[in-house]
Amino acid sequence: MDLIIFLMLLALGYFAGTVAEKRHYRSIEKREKALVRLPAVTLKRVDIAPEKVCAARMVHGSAVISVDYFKRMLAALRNIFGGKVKSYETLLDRARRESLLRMKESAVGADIIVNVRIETATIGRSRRGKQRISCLETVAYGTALTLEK
Amino acid sequence: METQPKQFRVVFHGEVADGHDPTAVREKLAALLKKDPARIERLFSGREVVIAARVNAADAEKYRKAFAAAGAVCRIETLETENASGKESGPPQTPEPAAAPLSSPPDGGSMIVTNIESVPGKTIVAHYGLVSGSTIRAKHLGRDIMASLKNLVGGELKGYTELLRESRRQATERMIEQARQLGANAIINVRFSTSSVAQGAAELYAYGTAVSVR
Repeated sequence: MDLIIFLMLLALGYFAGTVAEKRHYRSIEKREKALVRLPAVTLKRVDIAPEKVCAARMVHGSAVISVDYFKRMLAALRNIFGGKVKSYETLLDRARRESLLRMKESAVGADIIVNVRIETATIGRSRRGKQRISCLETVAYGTALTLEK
Repeated sequence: METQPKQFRVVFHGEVADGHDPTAVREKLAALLKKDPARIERLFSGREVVIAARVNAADAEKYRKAFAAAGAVCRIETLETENASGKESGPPQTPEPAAAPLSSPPDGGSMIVTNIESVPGKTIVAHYGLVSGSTIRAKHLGRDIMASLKNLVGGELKGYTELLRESRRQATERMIEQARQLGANAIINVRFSTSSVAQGAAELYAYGTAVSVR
């Protein structure tokens, strides 16, 4: 009985997770194309004369994301043998790109975002002994500069 | 166009109705508006003074009656709306700037927050040191249940994203409040950090350097 539930969860996680991931990637790519004109750089200074900047403000975007059941199993298996945990890589990649996009979307009217930082934090720490709810938060933040035309 | 109520503004040019003594009118207006004589004197400078910036027809009429009772003449002007049916010959753009000095400056709007080491185009004149704001949020049960369901499927946890964004905004506001108390007008080099302090609770922390720029 337990095995059936386990397999069902595994299948649900696999199918729903894959579908969700594909859809998410599609939406990310579409929005990235739309926002390609707004560069986000990690430099503190850019070659812009300071007197041309007419506004500077902080923008940020965040996303909380969690792994599906199937991937968690996969990662648990990986833990035994070690090596690259691919399922988590895509997860983090999605979360980071999503938060970057949200940051860009909140910087309406800006011309460039400088000093972009991306941070990752685990929230919802595991209760001892219980299955862990692993969700991750990624935050992207930077300073949006609006230039004079 | 349809149900959008027309907006009016009440302006005063310092005119006194015929047969009224200007000093008596001033006293009455001072009593009416509960302002000290110096402020009242400003009303009589002859320049256009906005008494009420955006009011509906009934309120505008109330102002006019009250002023008339005191012996002063004020005018009601229609504010231009999007459909631009300006019946009065008032200039279309003046209401905004004229009304602006009377309202208090928007809170938070004056504080410049950046995460670079300067404010571009401005020079730093004073440092006030570190300011920080933090908030610890626990997610509520409903969200937690939804999150654990979502955990099977994976993907974004919208509830948490919303919660954390809200708390980060609050942390930033606390930081800005602290900087304002120090007399700063900008916060530079702001950093955010998140840590989970207990099971199910996260701390959002924002810190930066409060400075005064010109």
